[in-house]
Amino acid sequence: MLECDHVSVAFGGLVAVDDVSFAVAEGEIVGLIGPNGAGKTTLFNVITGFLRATSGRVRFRGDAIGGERPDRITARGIARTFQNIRLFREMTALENVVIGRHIRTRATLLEAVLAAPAHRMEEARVRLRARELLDLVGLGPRAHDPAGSLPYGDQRRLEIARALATEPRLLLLDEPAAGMNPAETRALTALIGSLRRDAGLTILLIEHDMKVVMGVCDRIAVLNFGRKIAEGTPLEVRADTAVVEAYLGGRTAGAHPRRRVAAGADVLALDDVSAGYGPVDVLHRVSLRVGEGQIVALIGANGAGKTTLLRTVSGLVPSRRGCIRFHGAPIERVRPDRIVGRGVAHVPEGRQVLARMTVLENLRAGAYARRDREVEDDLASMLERFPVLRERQRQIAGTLSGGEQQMLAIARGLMSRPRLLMLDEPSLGLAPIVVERIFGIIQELNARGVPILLVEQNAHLALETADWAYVLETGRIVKQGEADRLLGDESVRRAYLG
Amino acid sequence: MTPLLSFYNAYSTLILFSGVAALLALSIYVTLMAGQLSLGNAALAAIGGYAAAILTRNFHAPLWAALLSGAGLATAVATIIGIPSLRLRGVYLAIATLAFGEVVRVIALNLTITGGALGLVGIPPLVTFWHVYGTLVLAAFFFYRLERSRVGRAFAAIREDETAAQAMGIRVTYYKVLAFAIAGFLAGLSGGLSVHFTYIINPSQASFSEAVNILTYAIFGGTATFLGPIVGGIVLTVLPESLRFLREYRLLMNGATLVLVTIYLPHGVLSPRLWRGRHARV
Repeated sequence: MLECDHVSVAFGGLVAVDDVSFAVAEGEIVGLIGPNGAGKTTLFNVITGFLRATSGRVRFRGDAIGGERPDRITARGIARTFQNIRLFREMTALENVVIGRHIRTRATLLEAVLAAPAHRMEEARVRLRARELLDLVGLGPRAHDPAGSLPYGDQRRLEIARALATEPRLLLLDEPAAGMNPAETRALTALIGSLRRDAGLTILLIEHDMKVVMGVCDRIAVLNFGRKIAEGTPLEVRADTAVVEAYLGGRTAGAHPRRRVAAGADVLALDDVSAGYGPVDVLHRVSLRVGEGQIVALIGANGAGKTTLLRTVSGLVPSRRGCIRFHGAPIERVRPDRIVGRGVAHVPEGRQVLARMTVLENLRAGAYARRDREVEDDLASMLERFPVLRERQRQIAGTLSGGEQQMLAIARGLMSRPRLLMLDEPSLGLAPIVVERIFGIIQELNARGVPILLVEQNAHLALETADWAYVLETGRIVKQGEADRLLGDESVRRAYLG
Repeated sequence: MTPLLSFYNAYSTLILFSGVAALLALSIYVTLMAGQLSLGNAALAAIGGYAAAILTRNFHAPLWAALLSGAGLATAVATIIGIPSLRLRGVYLAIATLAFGEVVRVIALNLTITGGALGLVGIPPLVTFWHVYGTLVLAAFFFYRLERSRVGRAFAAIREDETAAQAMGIRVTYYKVLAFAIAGFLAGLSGGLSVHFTYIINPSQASFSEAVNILTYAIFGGTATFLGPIVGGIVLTVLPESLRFLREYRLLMNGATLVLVTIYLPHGVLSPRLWRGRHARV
């Protein structure tokens, strides 16, 4: 169905995709894996017409499609989702899917203006189909919510529904499971399987979550530095030493057992805190503690309020009731910049590095609230601790790979000399080997005495790393306990661990 | 004489100006719908106005023919400037279209057929209330339907995310040019209408300040639906007149109103948040 034949893409001197050939047969589900920056998304952009290959050919159902415009390629029957989610955020979920029907509708402007019967019938059909697709991905009840207000996992599912609305034969999914918890990931895996079974779709999938890739793919191609380094069945690929070295990494996280730390004096204490946006409370009377020297994990489904909780502590979301204490002093009425000044560092979801500034400028920005003279010393020690950042200190942050950006975001947080480090989804969208490195850094920081509050979709990893954990469900703490106890807890297993 | 008629007689020019302003606001709104900030509308209106005026004044053409020719010429010009402009985004497009307006102004200033700096005078008084407001009602109906069609949705998709719109199979280039063409038609039509009740046209009608005025109508009214620009055009035409008693402070009030609206109603007077209720944003 799809053939890539010796495809190369170069940006200036940088070769992003280097002589890659592979084929996808009708009805197959093929995985495309590899470290961040391996060229996977670039290859997607070539197939969907957003980039032109420097050399090589792309064929779809026998026709050469290299160099065609993206809308023509969509019309041929290739649909895609985006790694960094590109929904029409201001529109409702339903409107997003309706727009996906554009290419399969014909009404002219004149017919629309004259309210011709053909137009009216077409509109009715479009809405009906859009509803069906929303139901298919489980978003029926949220049809009228603005897309931008949906939790991350729902946004990913909405992108799939929107792509399906174009009636593709080949569906390209770019990290569909990023930001989903294990239960959601399982539902996604089932959905992908049913798309092939029931709709006869062929699927090409970029994904870092090995459970998904191993679970649904017939074949896997592995890219590293733009080159295909392996191809085969999931079992073959998993056994391939080159793949393990480049991508999967040696150990499963948590294999280094950590000495659990009992709660010391409270660093952070939330009592009965409610907070939210507009008229809606997202958090309902939440109480939580982070003790001296601890790693505390906060797990829960998408939309449970984990990010909101971190944002409330940082002062970015005002709390409506209750008390937040940091080292005993109430901070719920303190401005965000002052909270940073007191020593709370927040590494936000999706990194949010200052994309147009260099690595060094980003790090200096992290120390903005400090008045002391040791900033330059800390800068030097940060570059020592993160050798990748030293190599790239003059590079523009937006051009770093995902893993490098995550390290920069953490390093920037540390530049404020935090007395509490809050991390929101540090593993999001990262290759297993990079996740391993990041969590190694988190443990090392903690060993040096920095208490950590960790929000993480990868509940296994979070619970294996943390001392104590809270489970948040629709804005309420429903469970807490020693992290390894929760790891064995049946209800937690069922809800989040799969 | 009925009170309504005497009111109209006293304020007829102002009422006609309001209708034309609403049409001009709609002409900039259509490009904004597709996410394009184009400031060439005053010049396009001038093109439509000059063309229509020359046809009725010099060649005694019937009004409808003059209006359609003016609008048609403006549409053609808008399409032609639309195509190269597609490479430009945001403020760069705004600057390029402003420059286009300046070119039109200078051309009008130097041609004999446009009457040079003095412009054209003695244009026949052919346009009445019904011409202007009939056109406005038709245009409003057009937008009402457009916003509920796949074309309107394609515009909105391009405005929100061009890349995603393309991935949905939307021909971005085609729809951007279409938006420019519709804008040209509306602007050209309103230019043709206005010269037949003001009886004069001169190069200043393609000036920078006119272009900015039109943008102001749309921003003031709000660009969530077509009603915003209409309200903006009418209110901002009537407001300065109703403040005449303030004499030299009148323009000050104008500016103050705008500043207050942009601060307190950043989405315009008819902002969707006022009627649709507030959405929680996460």
